[in-house]
Amino acid sequence: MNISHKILLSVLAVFALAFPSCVDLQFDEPPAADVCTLDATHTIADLKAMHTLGQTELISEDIVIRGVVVADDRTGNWYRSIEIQDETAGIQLRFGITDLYNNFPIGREIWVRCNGLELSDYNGLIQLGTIEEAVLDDFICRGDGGKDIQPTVVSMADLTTDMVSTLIQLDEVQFELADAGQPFADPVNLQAINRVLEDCNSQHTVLVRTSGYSDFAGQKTPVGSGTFIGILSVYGDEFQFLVRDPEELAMDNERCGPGSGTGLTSLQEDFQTGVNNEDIDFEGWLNLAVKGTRRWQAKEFDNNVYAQATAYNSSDAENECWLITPAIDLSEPRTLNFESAQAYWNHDGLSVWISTDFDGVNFDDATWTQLSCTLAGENDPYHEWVPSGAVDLSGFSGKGYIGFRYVGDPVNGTTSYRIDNVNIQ
Amino acid sequence: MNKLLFLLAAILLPGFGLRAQLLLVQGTVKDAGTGRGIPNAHVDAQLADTYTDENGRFELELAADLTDIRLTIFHPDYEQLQKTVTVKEFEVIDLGDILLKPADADEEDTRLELGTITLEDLESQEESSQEVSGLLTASRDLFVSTAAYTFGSARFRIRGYDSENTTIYLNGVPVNRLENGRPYWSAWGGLNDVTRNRHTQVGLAPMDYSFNGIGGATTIDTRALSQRKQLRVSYSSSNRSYRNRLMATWSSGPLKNGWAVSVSGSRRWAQEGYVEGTFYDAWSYFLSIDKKFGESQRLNLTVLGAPIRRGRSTAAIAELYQLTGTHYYNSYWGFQNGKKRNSRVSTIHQPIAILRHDWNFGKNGLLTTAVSFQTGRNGSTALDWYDARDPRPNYYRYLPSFLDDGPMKELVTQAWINDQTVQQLDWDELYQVNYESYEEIENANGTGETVAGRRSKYILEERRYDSKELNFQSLFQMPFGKRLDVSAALGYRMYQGDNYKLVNDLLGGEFYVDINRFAERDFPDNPDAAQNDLNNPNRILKVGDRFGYDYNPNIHKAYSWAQLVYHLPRIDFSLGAQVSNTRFWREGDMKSGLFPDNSFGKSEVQSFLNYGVKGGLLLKINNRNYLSAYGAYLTRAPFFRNAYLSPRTRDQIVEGLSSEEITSGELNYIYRAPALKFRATGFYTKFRNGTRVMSFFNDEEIASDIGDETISLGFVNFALTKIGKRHMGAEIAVEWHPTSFLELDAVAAIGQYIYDTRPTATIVTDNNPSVFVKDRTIYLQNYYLPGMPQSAYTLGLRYNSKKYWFATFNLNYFDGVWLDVNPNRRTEEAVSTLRPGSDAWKAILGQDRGEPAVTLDFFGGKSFKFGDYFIYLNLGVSNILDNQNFITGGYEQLRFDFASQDPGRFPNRYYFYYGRTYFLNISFRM
Repeated sequence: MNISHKILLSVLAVFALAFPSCVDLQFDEPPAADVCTLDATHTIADLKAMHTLGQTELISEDIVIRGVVVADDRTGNWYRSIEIQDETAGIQLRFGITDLYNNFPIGREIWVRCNGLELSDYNGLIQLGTIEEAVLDDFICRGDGGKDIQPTVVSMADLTTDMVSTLIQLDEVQFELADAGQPFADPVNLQAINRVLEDCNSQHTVLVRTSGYSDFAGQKTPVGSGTFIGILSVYGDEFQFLVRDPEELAMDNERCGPGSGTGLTSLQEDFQTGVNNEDIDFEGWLNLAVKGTRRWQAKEFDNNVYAQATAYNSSDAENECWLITPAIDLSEPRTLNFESAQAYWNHDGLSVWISTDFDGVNFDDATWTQLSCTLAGENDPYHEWVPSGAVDLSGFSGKGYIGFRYVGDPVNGTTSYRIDNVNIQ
Repeated sequence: MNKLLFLLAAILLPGFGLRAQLLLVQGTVKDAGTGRGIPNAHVDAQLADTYTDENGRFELELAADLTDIRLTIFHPDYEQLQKTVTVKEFEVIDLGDILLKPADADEEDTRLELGTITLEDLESQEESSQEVSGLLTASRDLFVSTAAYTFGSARFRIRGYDSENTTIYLNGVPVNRLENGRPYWSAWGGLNDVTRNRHTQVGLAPMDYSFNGIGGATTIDTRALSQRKQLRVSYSSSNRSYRNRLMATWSSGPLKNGWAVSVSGSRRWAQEGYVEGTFYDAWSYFLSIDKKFGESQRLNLTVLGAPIRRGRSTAAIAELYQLTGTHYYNSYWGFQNGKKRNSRVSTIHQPIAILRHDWNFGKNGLLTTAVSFQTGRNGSTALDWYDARDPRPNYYRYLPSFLDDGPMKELVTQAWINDQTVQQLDWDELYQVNYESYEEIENANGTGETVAGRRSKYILEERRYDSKELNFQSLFQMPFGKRLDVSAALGYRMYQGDNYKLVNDLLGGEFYVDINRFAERDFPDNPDAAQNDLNNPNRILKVGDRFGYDYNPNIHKAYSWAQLVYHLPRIDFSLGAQVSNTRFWREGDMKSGLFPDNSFGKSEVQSFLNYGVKGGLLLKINNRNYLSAYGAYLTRAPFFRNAYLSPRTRDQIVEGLSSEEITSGELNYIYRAPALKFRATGFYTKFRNGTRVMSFFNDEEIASDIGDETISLGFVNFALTKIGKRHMGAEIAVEWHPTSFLELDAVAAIGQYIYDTRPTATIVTDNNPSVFVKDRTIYLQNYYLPGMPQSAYTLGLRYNSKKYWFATFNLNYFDGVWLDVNPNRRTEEAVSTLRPGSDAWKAILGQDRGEPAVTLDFFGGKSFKFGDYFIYLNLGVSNILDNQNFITGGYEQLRFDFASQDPGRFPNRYYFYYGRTYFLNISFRM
């Protein structure tokens, strides 16, 4: 081995020793973040009391509030905002950023340093914000998760402004018949929709508003009655609820109200409470536009109010609308009587049906059987009431719904049909 | 007048007037230290030049009417030698042995490393970076070496050409990637000791080893026998991409039985380079073995590779460098457990093996056959996320400029200025989010089972551009008689890429899912749409799993060329022609839910037949004045990279895909006197029918509008066809030696490189089958080509001391750095409803440019001799004046807000020239 080989070898040895430690590219997984705690100086109620509706207050004191997240943006029904509440109240926190649930999921306790934030309200809903990404950790200190808040159980009648932005539970409520089994919102056009929730034990109703961007916008509202859980919000003078997750709604009991239970043992409807030229909207009754947009309308003539359907001058290619009674108890033999009339005859458009498997909401799933009865026809004078005769329902059992079906079109099926004095005994 | 006639006659009538007889000059160039022959030394007698053979021998034919012959002998490893020979009679002049002193090898090395910059690819899909280093080096041409060393770090490009117009040969095989035509210099980064044997020619003049592109060619000879016998070890310190370099090389020189061996290796590293958060971690290795068989045959095997891993940096918008106070703000890094971690890490290792056979036949014939194989990985990491907020600190919605005026904007501004954790990524937070994530995936892997656990919200993905390439070339060079030189070649190249992305790090989560989050949102009614691969739906991903997209570019190219040079005493004629066939296709490995019919399997094969012709003449007016003119016309198949609208997702071809046409001409004048050299060149080149596909990532929360259409999220692809470009300009270089120790240089590169047609645009996205825009006219005519100084000037002063030291100063001036324009802003749609000439109209249509810049560089060195050992010390300082405001490039973002028509919404991004940097090298040689 000559000298140059020795030098080469020694150089290579130096290289081999010197190299491996040169660039440090090893990164340990960071430990779970420390849990932060602060001392709250104010309750949320204290803070909200500092706000005057319609004003914006920039907070310049070192105010710290504490709260537990009761609503986040996981399902998309909140956008750039979360709701927190403490023992006294709740408030909406506004952000300039999205996907907040990754940082502030429901159940996480947080402290907010309010100095530098603004108090404002959106049509009465008090908000604290708006916190941007760059200063997130300057304003919010994150505590432990898993501190789920139990909802406050109240009845609709007892809702107060103090409860806004807190988690509320309403027992024995249901979506109004027209809003039951309907999508929460419009996910195609990304439009929010208000649905009406009604109290089984009072005349109170409250809106349930859902964003078209929420994951469950296309899901259907529950058909039955039961327990509703959501965040109370307010828009102007009116309360409204926001659903966190439809999974939380335990509303699969029987519907309450007219037709609930085994159904009505008798029914008498003369439509006198209907408002002239408006769609029939009677408690327990369903008024469906199956084809086209037209429904049965209340009409008044000579102090008599009745239900009328027609395709005359309709902008739809076809019209089909159903007026369906509340559920009738058919465990005893029943008889149906009503009156019908027609005008400007050019087609037979009225028929009467019964279903015993209809659930009160899902029309398409039900089996309908046509009833034979006397109806106003071509040869009857216009507007003359024709009694149906006693329609025997004894062949049916269980719970039944009677449906008055009108079909027509604006070209060859423009006859107007009227019904009145529906009487089931 | 008489003189001119006489000249014409001399040119056109061989044998007229001068009765030009030929004179043969021959000799052997040898190493003064060892006495061994030096191969590949350039011997230039001004009227003619040649290279020495492997034994150092050369022969030169010259017109016999000379009285003095001034010979310049150059080899990058040796000091240049000038020798004047007085001709006494017309005969063969044998100069015997010409001894060259070993040169200070490190000056070139120092200049090379200071001239190297790393191009971060703009917004294009390729994340791999490209090192442009000493593009054209070891040339004794002042203009070329200035362009490489002095102008290189300012992104200067000779004649404004992209690198696909210059062919690089490594031991006889072309190494420009078939996919995009570009050479990847990083493949032999760190092997400076063994790649110094290069020869570069710029422009259209004939070369006997290449039917070059219009930019010229460089050939690098790394064969063991071409390396001088030495042991060399060096250490360098720098503050550029890396901080430290160790390099060692041993070459045996010729051994017994015709063997020769050369080995080299290096290590370059920095925990943090010039830009904050950029580490550098590179190795290189090299082995070359030569074996001679008799006097006529020689076989060489060379294997080399350079594994490089480094952290990348961003181009910044004005708002960010104002907030952070530095033009070198880098958003890619952040703290993890208190340590700096870069999210964009390129890892490249693409070793190459070359087997070459040389056969000398007949008297002067040479047949060179070479086969090469290259394979390896080329990847770059990036963050990906699902159902989570954009983690990048510089996301435009997080910046003060996005916020309405008010107290919060002020607080955010202060946070940006004062808090480094706001300026940088927050790795710890990404881990926290993943730690707390819990999800149940139904029908996981398409098997119906449910997988539950920590689904990562944030991951690090690696986008890979792996490839395999096989090259074959046979080159024939032979003189016929005294006047005709013939060279010809036959070659075949095969390329198979493997483009995909994989999960690199789950960042504390347990799995990720192969779902297209954009399609999931855009097509809620089509459950298939969200699947990246219908063959593996809802695939649960672990580290190392491929996802997103996965396809193979396949390219085959066969080519052949031939070239003739006909020598007359006063004039050389050259003529060459080339023909080639290029075929390529895409092979998809995933069946995309959005494109089930054209994403999986082999696509239709695209085939292009191309040709080229070139020719010219060189007038040797006298032994001081030369005039030459060359022209070329060639067609070039579109590159795979620009042929598919959205290659990640489908095999849809750019409509009207066709070959590009290139026409080029140049005129050169050279003056050579003993103390003064002057070269002036004028050139004019037109590119026609070019095709380019550009991609950008549209990450709007709410899809942005392009015209009346709403573009979906994810990658948006612009295909431009019928692109025309015009490059014209002049190159001037003056070299003056007033004394033997002083040299004064002046170089000017004056160019105008513009688009000169209106291309047609098509716009599609990766996440939507519809074509959003078709046949949109882009009003690109007369916009400047971006990303380089169109003009560059330098004044150089060099002092060479007899006491083995030298010092050089260069004062440089750069002008005409234009920003890359967004084609979609040069449309009727972009300026609709605006009054022509209004400020808003100008703001959209104008092209931004950098201010002219002045820089000053220094190079110096000294050598010491201790017996048989040499020690060299070299220092280079670039940008001594520490000018940090020099914009070397940038681009308009491809996003444009058509609703507000405000180009400031997505502001321009800029690259800045490094401030003062140095490269210090100490080497030891024996």
